[in-house]
Amino acid sequence: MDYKEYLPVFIEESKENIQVMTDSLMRLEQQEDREAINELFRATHTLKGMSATMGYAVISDLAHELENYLHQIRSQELDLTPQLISIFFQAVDEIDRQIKALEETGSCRTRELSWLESLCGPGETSASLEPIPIEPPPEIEPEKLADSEIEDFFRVTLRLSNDCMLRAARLLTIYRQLARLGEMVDPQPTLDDIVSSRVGDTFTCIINCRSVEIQDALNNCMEIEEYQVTRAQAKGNLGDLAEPEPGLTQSHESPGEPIVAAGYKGKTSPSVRVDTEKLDHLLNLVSELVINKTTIQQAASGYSGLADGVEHLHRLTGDLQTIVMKMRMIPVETVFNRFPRMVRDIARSLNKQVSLSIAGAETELDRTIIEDIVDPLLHILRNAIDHGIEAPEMRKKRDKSPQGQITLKAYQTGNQVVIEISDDGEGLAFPKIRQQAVAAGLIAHNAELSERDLAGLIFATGLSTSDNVSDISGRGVGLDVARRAIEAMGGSIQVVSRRQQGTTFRILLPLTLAIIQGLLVECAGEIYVFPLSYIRETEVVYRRDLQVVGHQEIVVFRGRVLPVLRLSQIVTSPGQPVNDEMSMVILRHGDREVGILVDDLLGQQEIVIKNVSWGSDFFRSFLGATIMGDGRVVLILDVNTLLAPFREKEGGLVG
Amino acid sequence: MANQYVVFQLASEHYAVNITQVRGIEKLLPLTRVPHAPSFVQGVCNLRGSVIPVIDLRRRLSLPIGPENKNARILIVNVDKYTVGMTIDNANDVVTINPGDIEPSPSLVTGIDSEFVRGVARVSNKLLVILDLEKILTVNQVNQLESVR
Amino acid sequence: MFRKKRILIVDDATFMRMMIRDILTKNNFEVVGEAANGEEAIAKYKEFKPDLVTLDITMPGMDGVTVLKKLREHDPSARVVMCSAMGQQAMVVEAIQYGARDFINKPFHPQKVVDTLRKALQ
Repeated sequence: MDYKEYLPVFIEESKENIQVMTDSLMRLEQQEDREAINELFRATHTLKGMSATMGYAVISDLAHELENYLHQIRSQELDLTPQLISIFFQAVDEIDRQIKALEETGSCRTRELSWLESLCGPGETSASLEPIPIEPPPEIEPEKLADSEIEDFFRVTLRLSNDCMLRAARLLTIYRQLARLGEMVDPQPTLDDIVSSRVGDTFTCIINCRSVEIQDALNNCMEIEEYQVTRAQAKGNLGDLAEPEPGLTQSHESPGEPIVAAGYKGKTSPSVRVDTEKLDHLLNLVSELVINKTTIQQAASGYSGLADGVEHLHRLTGDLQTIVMKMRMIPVETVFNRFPRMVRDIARSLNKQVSLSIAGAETELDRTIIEDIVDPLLHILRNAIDHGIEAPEMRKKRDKSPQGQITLKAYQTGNQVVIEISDDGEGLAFPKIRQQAVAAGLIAHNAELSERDLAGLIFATGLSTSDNVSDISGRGVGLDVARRAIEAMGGSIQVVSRRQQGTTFRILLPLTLAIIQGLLVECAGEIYVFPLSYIRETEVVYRRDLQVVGHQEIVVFRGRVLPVLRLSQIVTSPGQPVNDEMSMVILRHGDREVGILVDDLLGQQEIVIKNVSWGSDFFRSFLGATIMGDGRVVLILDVNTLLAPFREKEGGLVG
Repeated sequence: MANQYVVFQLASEHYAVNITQVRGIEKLLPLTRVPHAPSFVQGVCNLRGSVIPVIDLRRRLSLPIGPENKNARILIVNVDKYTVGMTIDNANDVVTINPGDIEPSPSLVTGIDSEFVRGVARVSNKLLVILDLEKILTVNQVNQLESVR
Repeated sequence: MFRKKRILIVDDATFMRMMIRDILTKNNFEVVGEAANGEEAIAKYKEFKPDLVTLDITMPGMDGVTVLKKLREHDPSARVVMCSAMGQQAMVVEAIQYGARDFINKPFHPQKVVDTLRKALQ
């Protein structure tokens, strides 16, 4: 029988099993772990069975050998020595290579078993193996209804919906609703933050009341996308509130207790595999549907009889869109799970001791960018191990534990996914960076630069702070390539560092690419779209409000100096922009803010991004194009490139 | 490569493009300007839901600009994985040209950069200039061209 | 027995009042009155004692927040939902601090308006 049609599934499942084997081996390297051995055994056994069925003897024979050794280890006839673990790693690598060969060419490579046997003597080939006991899945205890009636301390975390425009105002209404219920502890953002608009789109706090009251209050609030209520362990959770970043929730890190109540369906439902091609096709259809619906909406605006039907259509399309978008999302875990092994290997080759901890691996990213993020992350990890973490002796001298710590953290906030890589190494060598930058001609030798500016320079091309140019980190090539790759995805990267304490890289990525919320603006008779996720606010600006400082036009906004650019100049409009009463769109990218002057704001709308394949060179300033309800093509501004000139002038920028 | 070519006119000259590269011919469509694009890129248009760039073929071939032509058409071509529109004066018909009939030709005869020309052929007493779309749509050349202006 | 909720609409623009009235009446609310400025709003509130007031935040003369304050002074239990455009967040925040129940943004999304009012009336 020809099993070729099962090949894709076989390959996918084999990859999963290989991952399980790798994870188990990593754990076994640290300490004895009965559970890990069992998992390793099961994965190996499954691989053996599948590959034997498909007829790939090269793989099934190898798996069979491994299984024999594992059998002996389990029955304690054989010791799991570091040497043996190393051999297992090599065997897993070989199976991985075979699977990749299958993926690429459709057949296995030739291989020889002898090296495995010669190292530890031929294992007993048992004709029949004991059947693996199947453990019943753990019982899930039904929720005790009475619990919801008991007054207790609950941690509330919530996220606002993507289309919420006045976030501070919305959070204030929610804050007030919750504050009525009982004593509120440690709100983030605080009331002061909220009133001063220092907010993101998330909120968390601890409240002392009954959980059912919290649910009622939150269900009665508008514009909440999702919320979670968990029982708060007063000591534990309060201690976790380390970084007081306004608007960012810690909930993904330490749920601990089972969730008492949640405002959205969790990931406990069974799953089904879907061909990515089918998904993309579905997404295209939904995109067309959205455009179509907008056309109908506009045409129907004159006919009151159609209003209900159109409203319903709008809601249906919205829901469909959301679901399809969610289908395109996969957890970053699929990408993160390669890193522990890679970090281990790199650390070994550099004679450093490094431990990698991962948080938030369940955070989801759009399928189309998930693979592209691997290389940039790898560059940064390599950098952290090579330049960040000191050698064990050096660390001991500095009163640090000889094992360096790298943390990889992912979480969602609003329309973005944040990925942070922190190390507890020696931090960025600012004097060296400065020296190199001067030598490379990037800055003047007497230029005054803050640490923040210097930190930004590590992404510049041609910079390397490595004394010995190892082939690991290269000639400073990694980070600028990483930044460009991240920006090509519509994201951004920042770095923060403290001498002797460590460095943190923070990557911001857009949540979805194909359909976004956008703000339409008019400029000199033309229409453009700003992606809403970058917009902080909008404001009316008069000619008299503008001033020039240095060579930069600025406006004083809420007591801050805000640099402004005129969109008409950016897009070299042939027409005439207005000059007296203008609208300003305040963009925020990373920690930079810029005001863009346009003639008028035309409104917010969902935007389907259409790519224009040819001519990407001259499309540099645009994310793509979109088609309006009336069929007109409108270009979508790429905020990254808009703000790029500001980055270069970092040293001399006002405000 | 098939032997059929689509023939069209620019000013008084006739040009030909291999039929496998032609996706269709459209009436003039409303265009949206693309900032910072080279001058021969007229803009982008909405072609049944896809956003397609449109270039002014006369400009691209450095031919003199003619009077405004309301009957102009846009020739939609597929080159590599790209779909691009090119403005032409009008489309004529489809002819068969055998590879043997195609002769190389210096720019003196065709009036345009020989880079863009595959060759010429004589069909029914008309001289057809067979265009090399890959070269016409190659962006590197664009920069050089722009700097010459 | 079900009684329709009674709403007072306050906005200086006739067009806006008309649009809100339209949305409300189609969704089982009763519009008891309209006001085009602060003084009218307070007078009509006293006269009709509505269940809820929709109040535009930027009006010439007495602005929305001032009207809100006066309404709440007269009746501390007054339910007011502010209507704002983009870029007016600071005023909305101020209004909420002075007791506005909730807010809606222009351009109005009929379902959002209805949901907001219903929730504010609970």
